[in-house]
Amino acid sequence: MKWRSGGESAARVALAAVVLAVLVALPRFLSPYNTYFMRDVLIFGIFALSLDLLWGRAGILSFGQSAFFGLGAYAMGVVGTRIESLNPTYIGLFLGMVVPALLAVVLGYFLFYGGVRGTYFTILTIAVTLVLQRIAISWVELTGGNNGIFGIASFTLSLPGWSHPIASEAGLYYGALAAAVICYLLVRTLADSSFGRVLTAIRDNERRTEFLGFNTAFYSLVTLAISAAIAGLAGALYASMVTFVSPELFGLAFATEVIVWVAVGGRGTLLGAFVGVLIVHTLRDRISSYNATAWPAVLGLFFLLVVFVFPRGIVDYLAAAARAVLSRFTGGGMASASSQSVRKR
Amino acid sequence: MSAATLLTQVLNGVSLTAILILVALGLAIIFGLMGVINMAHGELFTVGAYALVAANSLGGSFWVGVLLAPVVGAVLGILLERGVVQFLYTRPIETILATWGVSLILQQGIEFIFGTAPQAVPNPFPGAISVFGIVDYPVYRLFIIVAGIVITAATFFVFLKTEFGLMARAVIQNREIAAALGINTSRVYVTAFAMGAGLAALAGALMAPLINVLPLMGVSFLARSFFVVILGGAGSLPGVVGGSVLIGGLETLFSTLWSITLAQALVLVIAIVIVRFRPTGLFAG
Repeated sequence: MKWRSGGESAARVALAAVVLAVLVALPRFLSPYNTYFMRDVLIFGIFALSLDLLWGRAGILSFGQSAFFGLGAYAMGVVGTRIESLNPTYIGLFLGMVVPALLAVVLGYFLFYGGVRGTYFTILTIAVTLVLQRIAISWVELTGGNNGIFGIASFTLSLPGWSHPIASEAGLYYGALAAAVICYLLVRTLADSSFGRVLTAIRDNERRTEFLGFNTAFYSLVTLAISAAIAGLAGALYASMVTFVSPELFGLAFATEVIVWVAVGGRGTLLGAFVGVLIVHTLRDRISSYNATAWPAVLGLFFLLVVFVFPRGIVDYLAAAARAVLSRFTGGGMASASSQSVRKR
Repeated sequence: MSAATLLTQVLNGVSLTAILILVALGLAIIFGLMGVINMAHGELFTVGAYALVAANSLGGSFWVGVLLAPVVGAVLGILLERGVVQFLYTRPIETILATWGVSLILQQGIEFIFGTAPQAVPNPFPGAISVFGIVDYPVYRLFIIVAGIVITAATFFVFLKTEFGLMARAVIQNREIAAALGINTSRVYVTAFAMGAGLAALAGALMAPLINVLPLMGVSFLARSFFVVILGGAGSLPGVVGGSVLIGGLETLFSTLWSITLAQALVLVIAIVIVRFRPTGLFAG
């Protein structure tokens, strides 16, 4: 959504400032449990952001984002339990981005350059997720098998001569918030750039984009790699803050949750990724504490809702519903500038 | 490797391939006909197995269960097609998402009704007989191989020799022209979907005495049958057979050399490499 007039721009900045202020103030008002919860929402939001870039902007649906998240988390897990001298957090974050990106490059080369798109690509990502989870469970020496990895070094900031592990819930929350803001700004800049516009073109009609002279396989590959790096970063962050990783992070269930997060929040809106996580994850938390096994069925229901009821995300749906109600009161004919939404699929 | 071990492994591969063909046939028919990826296909397999479990617990014999399973599967298939899939024919991504949602709900439903504990189904053909005098092989697995051949042949017969099969092949070839020629494509879709679902459920029932019957048992078969369809070419029945032989054979071969995990990972890698160089499948056309 492009904001045109200067007045709208200022309003947007003001809104962003307010939201940021609220987010910064949050820990003061929340219980420790809820602060941890919001920290997780932010980290998962970064994860969802990575999928929104890949799916919402480039139109590539992947059931394999959890593979990247899991690789990042386990990279941090391995590093965080074996390296003492240098700051394991930094190394883990770095590896957490590089390792998934490498996998993405290999996968992308074989699939995108082989002409695999659309549903075939999506199915193959399911297979990749299943296989990686199997490997995570059976390669016990490296991954701890079903038990995962415990006791990962806690998130630590350091400069030469000074090291400060962060363990308080507020501290970890602010770390996640900082990461989320940085990642969002980076992805937003990328999406609004000419690179991002090519992605949108690919999403809308890849063949035509190719005919216009763009190497769509290359663009798709780069996007997959960036998306993988961001997902891996989220995973590494998660591992260092929760200090524990398990094979569920690689699982198909987790991969499908992130899809719902992006779809509910509004595919392609980037901010919607965080909104989607907030809504769905909160719902999951409430439902799971009420009934431990009901969540997958509710998740399945969400998939159906997203397809049939709110394909553009719940925010868009509610906003449209609100507009419909409002226009009935103002007698119709109300030209609302904010309904200039980009045609999404 | 002795002749006995070799023969055992070959027969293992063939019995896995037989089950795989039945599951993948359903998926291939649906995918080839309608371009629809049915993510709930694995659950149709699971439902078939649980139909057998239910029949057993109500006192029915194995044969009652095996006859009941495809019926249950077909009914579920019709419900799925009419209720969800028919609205999404031109939207493959939405179909994937919606059918995935249905599969989650089905999994939970099965878990809710039957619980998560593995169910055991009695083997109707226990024991082993001597194959070519070389090695003793479980009778039930031989039964599966025979059943697989018979059912696959029957499916081929339906598709190649009946009027329905002719209509279905016409729709696979060119949907619009087939409709223009007066073929009721909607009815072809429902019937084919029900057939595919029934086949998957039958495969699940046949598989049940061999493995632990769990609510999630369909997921690995879903993945494997996707490979089969991708490698064999969508909508091509001979392709399904060829793809199943390849996938089933490779997996069995690799699992004798390494762990099953590594075997499946290797098959995945090979599938990805093949797709890279032959995106339309090995046996398409």
